Amino acid sequence: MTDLREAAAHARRCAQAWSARPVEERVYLLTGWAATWINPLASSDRIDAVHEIAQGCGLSVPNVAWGITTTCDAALSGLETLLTASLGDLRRLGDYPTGAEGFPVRALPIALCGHVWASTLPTSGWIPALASLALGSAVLIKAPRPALAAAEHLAASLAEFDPLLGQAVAVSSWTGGSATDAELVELCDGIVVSGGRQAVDRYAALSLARHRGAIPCVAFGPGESLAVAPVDAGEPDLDTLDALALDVAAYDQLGCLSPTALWVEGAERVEPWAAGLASALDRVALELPRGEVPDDAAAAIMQRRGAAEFVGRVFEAADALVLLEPEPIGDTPRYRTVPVHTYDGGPTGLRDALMARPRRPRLLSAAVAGGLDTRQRYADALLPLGVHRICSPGIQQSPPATWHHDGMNWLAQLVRFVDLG
Amino acid sequence: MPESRQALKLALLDFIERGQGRFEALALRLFAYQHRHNPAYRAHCERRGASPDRVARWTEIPTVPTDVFRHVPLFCGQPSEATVVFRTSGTTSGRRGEHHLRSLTVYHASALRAIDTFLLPDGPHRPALMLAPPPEALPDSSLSSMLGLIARERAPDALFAWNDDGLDLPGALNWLTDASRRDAPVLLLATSFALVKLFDAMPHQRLTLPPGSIMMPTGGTKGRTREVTAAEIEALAEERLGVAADHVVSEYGMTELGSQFYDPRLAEALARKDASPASDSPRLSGPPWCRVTVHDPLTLAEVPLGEPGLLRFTDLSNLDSVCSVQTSDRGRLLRSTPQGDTLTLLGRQAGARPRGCSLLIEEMLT
Repeated sequence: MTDLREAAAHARRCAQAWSARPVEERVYLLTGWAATWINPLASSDRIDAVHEIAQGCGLSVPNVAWGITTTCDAALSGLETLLTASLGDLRRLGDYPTGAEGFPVRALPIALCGHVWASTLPTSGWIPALASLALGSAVLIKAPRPALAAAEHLAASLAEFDPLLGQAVAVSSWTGGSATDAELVELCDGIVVSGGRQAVDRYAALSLARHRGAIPCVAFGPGESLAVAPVDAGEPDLDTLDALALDVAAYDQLGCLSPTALWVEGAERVEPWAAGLASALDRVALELPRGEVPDDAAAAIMQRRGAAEFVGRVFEAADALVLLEPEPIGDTPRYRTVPVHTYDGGPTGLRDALMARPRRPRLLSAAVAGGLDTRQRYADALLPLGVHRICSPGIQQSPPATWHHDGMNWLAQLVRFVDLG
Repeated sequence: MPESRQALKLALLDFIERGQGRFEALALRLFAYQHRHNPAYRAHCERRGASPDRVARWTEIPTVPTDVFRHVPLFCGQPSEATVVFRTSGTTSGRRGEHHLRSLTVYHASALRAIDTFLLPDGPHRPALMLAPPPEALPDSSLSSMLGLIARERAPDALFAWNDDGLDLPGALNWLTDASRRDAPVLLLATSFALVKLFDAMPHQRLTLPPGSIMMPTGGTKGRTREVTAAEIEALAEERLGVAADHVVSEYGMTELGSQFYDPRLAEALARKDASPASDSPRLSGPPWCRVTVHDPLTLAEVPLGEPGLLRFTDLSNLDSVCSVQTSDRGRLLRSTPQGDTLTLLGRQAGARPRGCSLLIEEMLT
């Protein structure tokens, strides 16, 4: 469907019936739908869809299937909790229960929520869309061409699972342009946008300046994520290395939670970690091979590899490069290109090293090897850099549905709370 | 007996200025010299198991990606011995690429020979306007250096439309207006950004420069605040300045290379005494001492003639650094002959670092 107004009007009309269903039923249906997408390559109904999504975005088929499984697993286990945690009480979506505030509160979902997807991770927009639907909103998805197949299969399979649910979802695609962006904002009652700085800023501004009044805009902006191997983590073991490699290989390092570099504490420890990560990337490529590498990225990888050969050392792996660079020499070109740097002085030493870089993107997450105590010390030290997720290696790319994406209670922004005094 | 720089320099000058010698033999001699005297490059070659006694063809000479110039001094000797350092822009990373030269003799010989062949095939000595800083204002710009060379050697009355505030647009417009009232054809050399600024400053003005006037735009605008294609610049040159399309001689060069490539249409038209048909893909031709191969972006394997890929240059005028340079620029090799190669650019890679003198000068313009 490409006519934006028609799609929006249709979804808005149909959402009334969808919204009238009890929230428990909506969650039940949505999690039931999510279950049908777990391990999609084992399902004859889903194989073609996975291939089409992979073809659209350039990731390999196993990588797309991994992403779908991870996403749907998170939805299956966490959608209800996400609503409860965000709203304080699930019953607020239809009643006035008294919560921690000490007075009755109801949560009114917006009628139509626009979801603007990024092009890199085709299924990363699924959970926000499912959460909007669980609230009782209609959903209008604007998908860029690489993610269009993922959006269309989401909508089609929802409709197949429950026709009324499917009618509350509309998909639109266009090549861009401020006029259509403004039109989308005018049509919707709230926006969830993922993407680069320009897109996020544009939608935030449009949402504020909306002709029919400002609307909430939940913006998931760009940033970087890291992997960290502190002294506390000891020598690299196979499990940790495989976990780090999975974080790199998932989505071919194109996500905002993909580690863009590995920081190893202590110069003397860096080579075993770099070599071990390269071997682990070899292993992970057997199950999650790299997808297409566009020419521009290949050229950037070639340049970066060349520079690393002169200033450090290159560890080659199947579909991947680990670049031992004593000092950061620039952003990674991604597609499984992992610079490895060293730091000293524990969490504050890492913070200082990160802050000393000439270019410092917003830090979103860090996968820190070691125990919970270590992670907490690193979380405290990295707070000033904006970090909002510190986790163990191996789960960096598969946050639970309830995670505070971009550090926000984002879902609460898509409802209006009504206090009863 | 290892070859001295002086002997190699003379052999290269013989090849550049008189066509004496063979490209391959000279390339291998140059590789041996650079392998011996450039420690960073030698280590790079050793990692690849490449040495002068194992490299038999010029296409086997280990190449160096352009980004390496940003991180390592690629110089045959101590960097402090360099008399000239050309620098790239540092827009993206803050780190600027550096090309160290012991002297400008070969660089200038190479530039002048190519200028005479492609830019001024009907002869030098014409009034010239440069929309770029003079070498004194930007001594580390290879483009400014080349423009200074043209001003000294081929256009002694050249004006650099540049002052303390940057581009001197009123001065440039006055010069062009005066030139349009005279009979003598002129030469206009400019970065693409400066040309865009010039055209923006004369939205309703139409000048007709004397027939035979030549314009040389250099540097693209891709990825910048306003993108203008080569075809648009050509059309604007004809519309606003009356410069014939086949007299717009685009130049392509980069800080890391001593040689430049040019649109060959003017030289071809003069050689044939007729107009060369316009082409959808602008062609660029280089001199015999700078050969081109095209490589797959992922594997870096050489691709067949006509196939798209990343451009690699083996440039004998890079005497003091490394002669094989791998760029991120995408293109096709259209013709490969000992007399010189012709390529077409497919646009700088979107993910590649914008660089080069045009950008450096744009930083001063904005």
